[in-house]
Amino acid sequence: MIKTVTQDNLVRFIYGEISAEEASLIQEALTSDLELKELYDQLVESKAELDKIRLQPSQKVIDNILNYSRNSAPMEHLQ
Amino acid sequence: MQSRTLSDDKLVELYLAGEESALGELLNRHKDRIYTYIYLFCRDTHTAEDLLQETFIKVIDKLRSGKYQEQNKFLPWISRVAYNLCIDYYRREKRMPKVVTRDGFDIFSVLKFSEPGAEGKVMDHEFSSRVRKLLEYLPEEQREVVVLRHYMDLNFREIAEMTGVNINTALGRMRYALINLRKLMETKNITI
Repeated sequence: MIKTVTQDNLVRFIYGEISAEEASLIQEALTSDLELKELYDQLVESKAELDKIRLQPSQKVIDNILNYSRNSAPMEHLQ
Repeated sequence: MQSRTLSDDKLVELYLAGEESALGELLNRHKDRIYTYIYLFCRDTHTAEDLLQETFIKVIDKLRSGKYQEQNKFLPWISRVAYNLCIDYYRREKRMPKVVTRDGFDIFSVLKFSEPGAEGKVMDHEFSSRVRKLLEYLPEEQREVVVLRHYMDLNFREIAEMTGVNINTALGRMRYALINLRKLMETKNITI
């Protein structure tokens, strides 16, 4: 089954970039193909870890950007 | 203005009509994602903040000069601006001499922590060091696909276009990246 559901399609499925028809074929394959299911579980676990990563810039940078916008606003927008 | 329910394109329209708060909302929506991407690209907090600022200043200038013509593609559009600035940085950086001692110690990695107002960066550093442990083991092309897909929210077609490869190559790189990350988590006992 892993040959009919390509590994590239499995990646597209995990990231939600696949048609509904293809998705249902993959879902069906996952219930009957242990090798495919094992790969799927591995990929999903790594993806979940990556989704946890989120960094935040300092407020100073945000203020600099907003100040730039305010101080360089086109004349017609200034009251 | 109920800006949180408005689309990016509507916020752009309001901003160009003189509504400064619309820019604040756009920034609020996308700053963390773009910053994470830039940081994972350059792996330096100070540089990442500079590049984030440069990205949004460029975005502001381009918006005002009418260069954003795409519909419902604001994030991919600013992602491309950030990506190009990162590439420029990388090209510059490759030419710049690094100040590294004989045992490979990067002097600038210490100097960053003596900057004023850097207390927030200590937590940032602790968190990002775990991120780096995972991602730095990946080959460059795999790391690139990971950050473009996860932190810039580009789809694989857009990634392929941006990085000049076909979509199957981009998908293959992501698959190998995920498999390699899983192995790293197991063998090095690293979790985020």
